[in-house]
Amino acid sequence: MDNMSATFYESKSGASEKSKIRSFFQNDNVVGYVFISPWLLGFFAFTIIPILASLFLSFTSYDLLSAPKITGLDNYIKMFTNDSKFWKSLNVTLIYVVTAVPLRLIFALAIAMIFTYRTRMEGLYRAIYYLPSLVGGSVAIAVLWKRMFGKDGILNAILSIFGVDSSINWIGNPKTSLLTLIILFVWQFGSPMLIFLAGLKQIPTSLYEAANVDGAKSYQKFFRITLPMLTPIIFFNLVMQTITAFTIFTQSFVISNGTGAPLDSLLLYSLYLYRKAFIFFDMSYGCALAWVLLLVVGITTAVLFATKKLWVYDD
Amino acid sequence: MTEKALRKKVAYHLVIGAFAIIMLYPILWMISASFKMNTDIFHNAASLWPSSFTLQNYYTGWKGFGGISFATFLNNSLVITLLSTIGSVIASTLVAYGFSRINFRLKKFWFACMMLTMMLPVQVIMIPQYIFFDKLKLTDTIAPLVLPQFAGRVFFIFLIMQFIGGIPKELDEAAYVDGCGRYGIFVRVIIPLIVPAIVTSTVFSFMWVWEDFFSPLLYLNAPAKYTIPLALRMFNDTSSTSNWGATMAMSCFSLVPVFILFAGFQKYLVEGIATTGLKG
Amino acid sequence: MKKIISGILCTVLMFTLVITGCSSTSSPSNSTSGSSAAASDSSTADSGNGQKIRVSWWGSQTRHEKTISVLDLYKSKNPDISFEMEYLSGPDYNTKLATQAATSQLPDLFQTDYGWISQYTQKGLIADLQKFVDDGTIDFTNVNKNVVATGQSGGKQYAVPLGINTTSMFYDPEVFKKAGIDKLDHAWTWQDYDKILTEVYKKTNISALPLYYHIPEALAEIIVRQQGYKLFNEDGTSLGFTDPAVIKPMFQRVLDLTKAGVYVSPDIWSTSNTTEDNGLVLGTASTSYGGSNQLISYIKAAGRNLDITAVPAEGTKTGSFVKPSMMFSINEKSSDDIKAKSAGIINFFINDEEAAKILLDERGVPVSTAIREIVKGLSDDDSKKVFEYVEYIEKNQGPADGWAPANSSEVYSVLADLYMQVAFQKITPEDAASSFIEQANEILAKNAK
Repeated sequence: MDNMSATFYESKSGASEKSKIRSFFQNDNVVGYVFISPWLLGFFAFTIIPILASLFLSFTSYDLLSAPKITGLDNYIKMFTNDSKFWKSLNVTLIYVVTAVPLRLIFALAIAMIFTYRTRMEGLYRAIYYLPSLVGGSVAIAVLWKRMFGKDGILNAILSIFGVDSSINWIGNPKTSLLTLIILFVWQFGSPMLIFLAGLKQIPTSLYEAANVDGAKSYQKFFRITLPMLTPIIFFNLVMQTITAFTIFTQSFVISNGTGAPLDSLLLYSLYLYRKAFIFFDMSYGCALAWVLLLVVGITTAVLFATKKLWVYDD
Repeated sequence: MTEKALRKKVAYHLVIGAFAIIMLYPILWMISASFKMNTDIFHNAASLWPSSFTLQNYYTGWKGFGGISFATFLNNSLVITLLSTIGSVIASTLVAYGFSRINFRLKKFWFACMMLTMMLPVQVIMIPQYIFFDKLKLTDTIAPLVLPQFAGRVFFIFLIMQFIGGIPKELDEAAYVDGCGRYGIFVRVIIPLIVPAIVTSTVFSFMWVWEDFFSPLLYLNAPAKYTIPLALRMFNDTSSTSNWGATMAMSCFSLVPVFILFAGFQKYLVEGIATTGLKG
Repeated sequence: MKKIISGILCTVLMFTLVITGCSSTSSPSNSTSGSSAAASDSSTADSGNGQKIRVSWWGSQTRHEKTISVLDLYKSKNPDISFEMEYLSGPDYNTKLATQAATSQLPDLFQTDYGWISQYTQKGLIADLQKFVDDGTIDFTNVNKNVVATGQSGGKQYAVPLGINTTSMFYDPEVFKKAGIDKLDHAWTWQDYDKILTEVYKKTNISALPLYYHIPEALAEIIVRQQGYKLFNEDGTSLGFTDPAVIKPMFQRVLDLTKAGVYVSPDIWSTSNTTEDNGLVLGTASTSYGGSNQLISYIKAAGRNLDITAVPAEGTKTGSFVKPSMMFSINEKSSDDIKAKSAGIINFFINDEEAAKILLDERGVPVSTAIREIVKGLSDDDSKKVFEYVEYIEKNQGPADGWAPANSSEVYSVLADLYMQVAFQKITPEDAASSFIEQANEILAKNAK
């Protein structure tokens, strides 16, 4: 263990080591392709054709029921010039991403940190905290959430204990409904939490032992060791959760019964896209919407990757 | 020191325990609702304890539709989920190693392609993909649901890459000196060290395939092939009566396999290479 | 080099394993359903003799059971036919049907809805059944001509109504009694409506749910008809009226009554979308609305007596009319033989006594008057209430509006948005009315191409 972490640091500084390893293997070009071949085969077999097809369809008028007709940029022009719902859904989605993702990550990391404290109960606790994530986007969520945030829901009951007399229906009120959806996203923080946990366990104990010898305080250990060592995992969770939040569909679909009501406050981008494609039979417009989203998410992700060098430890 | 440790322990259990109740309340409500009469679920919503305890929901729920019981749906879900999980985890591990440890031509390009595939909302790829599988005469089989999983899942590939990235390259080097090739290093060095990531991927894969309803909805025609999430939605027809009791009962039931898997695997999830973890 | 080859071989092997894995796993799932005494699947299994017909429909657990029983009954009488049945809940069915249409995979015989069928007929996906009506395979002797016509468009019989229903208001008679109102008259007017609901609210402090708050198009249709117009023009390329004043009253009413507290506040109803969490069912509202056949599920969910009455009239003009609650249509691409056999099945559903005894009023009031009498005899008081009400509307109605044109679902969505915006007081009734006409016409103009 000690050797491993010791060499780990040296390899960071010595770039010459890397090139030495590279020279060990002459045929890396081939080996690389062998390893990525499952994905590559799948990409060509199942993914690339549908992706290109959806790009093509975005330049047509296609209603699923009859053959597509090429209409050029019509869908895109309409989207940017004459579709208030597009802007509305983009706006809702951005608010959702910007608030829900950091909250979920902070929550997940905090809980994961707490779980590194060893007790006999930890297995049980971990399971309990993970349980909400198992419910996913099941239909039961629709009822469940109304129960929590409805007019006679548990939230209002709790508020009344504190003397706040609230009779609003949190889900039905356009001002607060998105908040309930954000809470749902945060509540299901199980997957990033698990990844954080796994990441925390991968930090070599020797680092902490060394810090203990130096008499470091817990917060110092957190900021000097845990956080820097965890940055690759934080980066991963940040990228993945951002993409997930941008494309999330089921939860808002189930809670708003597929409409995005009240007043489109739950109209997340993917839900709008689904409504266009499958409810209004405008598949081509749905495809155009998807490609705009791809652009938005792609740029966001690219920016995140660009900042990687600034704060992410190691590769 | 011991007093301090004790105080810490009590505080830990208080905070975590109190919070666990908040986390769990919705689940408890769901379980309790599954034992309530259908009308009670909404009429008597506030109470966690059913005013009259009934197993009727489990009975009518399990009965399913048109003689096809939940045993069939469970079986279908298990087959699809297990195959998909095996496929996606094995493939993802291979691909992740390729991307993170080996420098080959066009690597960055393929990696970018891979990330992009994740960003396109599935709803629009589904129809062209459906048409594609229809041309292969594979609709109404589980092939369209399972086959693509054998290409690996971007989320897992990227996840495992992060963990491989945390393994010192000197270990590879040492193994090389001992006479291992790329494949040997992968099997002997890398795999044992990324067990937590592999297990995490396994649990996620199981969970996500388990709860997916959109692809089964499109691809499976015969109700005898339906999966649990699809069957769950059939209890609710907004134009007529919805059987919420049965929905709740079968929702609870559908949590069981995932929960068992999670409980069984969670030990391995966190027992990584550094078994002692963070100590205060 | 050897390593590369073995690597590739491994991958190939892996893929073949998957493929074989798939084909072998589909059989156990079949056998389980077979062993669970699945009536439906056994029919697929012994498909060796005779013809397989794919039938699909949407509905609840009960409808699935009943429909399967009827199909099994039919099969027992026609052993040369077997069925492949596909059934789902409503919204999922629509998604699935659209996907199947995209690959010419529509079932042979499938349930269609008045609201969206024209989307399919206009693309030539649905067969004209006139010749089966002419040769007597489908027997309309006992079916009201107006009802038969609801399955027609452009002179072609694209669909056969399986049952009829109509728009209606549900109310809690106990609450109304407390306000001194014994029974509501089916022939009431909007003036009565405003007065009575206000009265009920003042005396009991229980508000009413707005009529058709989730699908305001059903209300709009009636309001427009009450003023002598139709919601859509003949060829579906624009609305059937140009004056915002025609549609404005419905926006004005939801605003006025919501402000006065007579209507339930919109944040309560904006996300309430199932029978079970409906205010009337839960006892927090004095009225609700629904297709007449839904009264039964409302009563069942509420666990107490509820009553049914018509959407109020404008003076003497009721505007209400009976519609098919659902219909059966046949795939244009099916072979002639399959089409003929499917037509026979449709006839079995609407005219066979034994089938009727299984189905009862599951798909609304039976279209055949002869069958209706049989079912009425088997029904309880609640169902009889529905029968009486539907027959009342049938007697007092004008001709039904035709099918909603293509893209109507988008028009409806615009209307629902505006309706909710008015209720939340984000927009005035005047603006909502003119905005609706503008947006709807823009959407419908697509049909002109």
